[in-house]
Amino acid sequence: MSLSMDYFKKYYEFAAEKSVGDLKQIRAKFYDRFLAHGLPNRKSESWRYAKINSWFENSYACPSVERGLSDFHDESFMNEVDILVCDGVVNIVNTDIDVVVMDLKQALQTYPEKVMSHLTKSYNYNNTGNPFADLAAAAWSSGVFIDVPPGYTLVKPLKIVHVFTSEVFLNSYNIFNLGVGAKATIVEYFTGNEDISYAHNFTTSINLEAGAVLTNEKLQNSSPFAVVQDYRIITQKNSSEYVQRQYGFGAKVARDETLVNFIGDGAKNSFSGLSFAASCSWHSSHVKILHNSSNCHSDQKFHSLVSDRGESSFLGHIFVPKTIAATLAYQDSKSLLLGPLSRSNVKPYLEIFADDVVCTHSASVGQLDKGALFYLRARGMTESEAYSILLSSFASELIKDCQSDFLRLKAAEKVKKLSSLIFIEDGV
Amino acid sequence: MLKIKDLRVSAENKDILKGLSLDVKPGEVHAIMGPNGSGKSTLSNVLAGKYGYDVSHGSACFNGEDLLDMAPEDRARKGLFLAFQYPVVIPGLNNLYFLRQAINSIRLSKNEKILDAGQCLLLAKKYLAELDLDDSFLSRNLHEGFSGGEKKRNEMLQMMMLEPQLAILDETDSGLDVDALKTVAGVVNKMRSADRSFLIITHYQRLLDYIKPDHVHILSDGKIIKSGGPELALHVESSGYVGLGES
Amino acid sequence: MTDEAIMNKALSNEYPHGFETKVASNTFAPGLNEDVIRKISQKKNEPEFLLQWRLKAYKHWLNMPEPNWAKLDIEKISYDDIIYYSEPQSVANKPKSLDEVDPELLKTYEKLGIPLHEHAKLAGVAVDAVFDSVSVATTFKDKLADAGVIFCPFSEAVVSHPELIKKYLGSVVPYTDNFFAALNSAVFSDGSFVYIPKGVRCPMELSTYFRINTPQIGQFERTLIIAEDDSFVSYLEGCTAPMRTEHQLHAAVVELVALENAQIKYATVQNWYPGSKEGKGGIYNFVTKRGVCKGNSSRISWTQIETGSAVTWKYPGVVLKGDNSHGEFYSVALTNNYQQADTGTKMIHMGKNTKSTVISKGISAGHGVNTFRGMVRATPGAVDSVNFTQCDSLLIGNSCAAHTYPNIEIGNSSAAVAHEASTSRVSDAQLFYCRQRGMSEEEAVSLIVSGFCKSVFQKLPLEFAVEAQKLLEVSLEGSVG
Repeated sequence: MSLSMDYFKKYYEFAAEKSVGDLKQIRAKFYDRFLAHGLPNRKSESWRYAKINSWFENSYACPSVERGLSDFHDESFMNEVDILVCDGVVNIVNTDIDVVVMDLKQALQTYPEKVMSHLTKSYNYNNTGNPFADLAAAAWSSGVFIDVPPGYTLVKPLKIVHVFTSEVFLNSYNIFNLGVGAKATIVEYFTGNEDISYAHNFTTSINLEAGAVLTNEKLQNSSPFAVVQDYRIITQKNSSEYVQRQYGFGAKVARDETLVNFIGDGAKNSFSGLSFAASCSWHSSHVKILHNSSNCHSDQKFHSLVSDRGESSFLGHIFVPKTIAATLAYQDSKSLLLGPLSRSNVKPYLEIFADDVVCTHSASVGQLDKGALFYLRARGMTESEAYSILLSSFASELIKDCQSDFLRLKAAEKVKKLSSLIFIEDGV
Repeated sequence: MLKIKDLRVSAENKDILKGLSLDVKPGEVHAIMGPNGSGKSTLSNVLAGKYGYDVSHGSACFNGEDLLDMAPEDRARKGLFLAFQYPVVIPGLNNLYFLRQAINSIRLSKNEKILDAGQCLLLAKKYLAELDLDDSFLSRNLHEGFSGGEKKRNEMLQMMMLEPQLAILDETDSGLDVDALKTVAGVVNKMRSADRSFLIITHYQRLLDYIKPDHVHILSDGKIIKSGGPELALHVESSGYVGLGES
Repeated sequence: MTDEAIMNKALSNEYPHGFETKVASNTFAPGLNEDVIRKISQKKNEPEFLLQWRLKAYKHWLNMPEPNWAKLDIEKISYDDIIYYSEPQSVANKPKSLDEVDPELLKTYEKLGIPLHEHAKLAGVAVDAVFDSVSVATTFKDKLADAGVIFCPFSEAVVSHPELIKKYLGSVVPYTDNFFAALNSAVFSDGSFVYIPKGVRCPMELSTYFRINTPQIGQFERTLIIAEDDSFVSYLEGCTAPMRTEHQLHAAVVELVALENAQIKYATVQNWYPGSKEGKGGIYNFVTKRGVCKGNSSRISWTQIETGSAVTWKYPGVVLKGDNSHGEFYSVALTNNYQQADTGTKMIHMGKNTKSTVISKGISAGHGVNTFRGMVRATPGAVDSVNFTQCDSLLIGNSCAAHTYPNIEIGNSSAAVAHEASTSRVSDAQLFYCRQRGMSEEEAVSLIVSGFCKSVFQKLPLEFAVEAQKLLEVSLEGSVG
């Protein structure tokens, strides 16, 4: 049965029914565009490999019931949380944080202009089309609002954990705002009970004022039945710096998309991503960087591991318009296919209208180096041990710089665990 | 041969040369020494006509002609050669082919007969041995994958083949080991003649152990603060640049 | 002269092949319908199956939308204003030998540097000369026939070897493939046909020289090359057209079939009229080229030097069906003034242990837009397939654009794919270095560009490498060189 737009209606109505004023209007604008755009099809480069019909087979509940953490089985992160979002309900666990951290609904009362300006920006920037980002902004019922004031340096990282304990369709919208010269690290961890199916469709709007520095680290360890869509829209002003490190392991479908707009000179960013698409999962990472200002540098490094019937995609897109000077842009993607039925798709695009640029990209898809495998086995390791070591070292290039100990260890552990499964499943 | 009068030059709105004068006569070897940031490389670049410099005052004449008005290639064709501190890489461009293009564009401008590939190869081979290089050097791409020493030797090879009237060596000695340094000095000494001059720009005295300059100038903060004979270089070697300005 | 003025001068471009030949021609009225197709087919004495195939293609085409996914800036093409067939009258009488060919036509090719006359023929190269819709002469036919090689106009092959045409026409590029392939299948008029029998190494280079002459005409040629087991052929095509202020359409289809252990090398030097400096006129070059490595251990290579046309839209590809087969694509595309080139390749790996190599060099100058679009696909059956792609763009001046859109789809864990790309400009430091050695800026640009393209020029047949280099210089820098 093919998916119809009606499927999403109840989630929108659930979120929008109590809204009033500007919020109601902008929700409607997003929803109208979502409907007008319709579901993406194969003709769109960035959705070519997505089988959207299969994503929403379940009829998820609206995230209306407050549930406690008692329903969650894994508590390993409990010491690692400042903000806990459980099935969409935002709890500020650490009340000792001296920057503005609140539920988006509350922020709407306290900082209505800031929230509305982010929503408006999302509307204007997403005009080329991720319909699910429109849906998230139209139908959000949950969100975290973080505002770091100008000149302020947040010494300790802010840790947000998103937990799912019930079979819901959650749309959420988050805002990270850094004032002039502010510095912060935001760490996000996504998890859910392993035996349930849920959909998490969320947009994060990030704004870095001049000279602001944000490190954003996230690890997606969702249930193997979950559908997770993560859309980030980032504006960077003069000399700001953004670092994103992302690690994706769980979910049946995990799609992340980041759109960066350099709107001030001398800004920089770097992206590193590691994903492991095991069993039948489908992972897709998209980064689009609009070099709309001079002297900006961007750097992308994405590694993906694919085992069994997994599929991974990487779509990088660098855009440099006319008259922009001194652009540096790098892209690098590597995929390792570990099972005979594993698949990988790569599209590293460069679109350049200016001449003062140095852009390079490289992409490779292949299997584990047989010579290295042999070398390790000649030193007495079993094939499974050798695999594990080689995959861990492939991953470590991206994991080692992670500042959050929790994420770093978790990522290493997941790589180890998923590599050990290759042998059980394939019987090698 | 080269007459520089009260030259003032800035780049990116920063004054670099602040009234430099210099007179190089035919057959003379001048050494210009100075600490980092004194304007040494700016001087060589401005003389060769590199983009990005602003001459606000003064003049530079080469054999009586105004140098500063000429295109870089015209300066080269009239016999000015710059041995680059950092020779550029041009991927895919054959070294010998490049040499031939350079020689022939200079020869053509003088209405001389151009060299064919064979003649050019013979000429180059003659000099390769002197530079301790083998023939395969010519079939490589211009500076692609060259070591620092190879790049500098390639600059010397070009100088030998182009036979300039005035050769400016911009820190040719930097990054060279003693053997390579002797090779470079050997080339310069061999090419010294009554109608050819050299301007040797260096940070250290050590190249001047092998090339005896007629005049040594100390450049500091965009001006020549002291001029003298070879003994001045030795003074810098033992006491550094400090205090030279006051005397 | 300021730097900018020098740069502009270096890039100023005189198109040397822009003259028009005055010959009396039989020309159809503009417009396209079934009758036009029947008339073309009739002109060629085609067997019925071919007419039916054309008509099917036409019907299919009528229901196809014009493609716009490449986002090229193209003036709306009015297919009813195009002339679909024109032949010089002298050719209608079927000259039996070169001596009977209209001297005016021979002179045209001479002017283009392709002498067809027996005494002046290009040594070692057999030439088929296609003028508007028909082949006017083919040289060295006898010598080739001695070796068993068939090299003749497509329309001749249709009559003399209908079984080969029936078997292979549309087998690589079906008429349903795309809009322009469908149009071509309906109205193609001539082109070259090559058949290399089993075990034969073609004794000389084969070459077709395409010339568009008549105003308003669309040239729709079709080339089919079949290399039987253990054979080898090297083929080169060249193209030019007069300068005209309106755009003209050239929509060709090229199909290559390499059977077991056969090798086909196909080179193109495309120099259609690129339009004026202001972007007026020029050829729309919308071409579908594909080869299939059908047999095991077969090999197909595409080499292209693209300096002409207002708009180029072509992606020569190789379908690697046979085990151990090998596909190659080497390309230099230069766009200057207002030219647009959207080109690249598709390598479809299906057989075991197949290999492909892609090297693309794009140069954008003036307001030129140069796009590389590539597809490397390994199907689950393509065990141990390997691809290497390198794709570099060079920018000259600040009004041009260079885009790179590679697509890699790998459905097979034993495949190894590596892709590298870079975009950079001719640096001021490189220019200054060359000028300090006495070269003018024009010479310097030309040297740097030729170094940039070297790895592709090395793949051209020797006779044409020099020509390609010259072409690039002319396209870049007027008369200097």
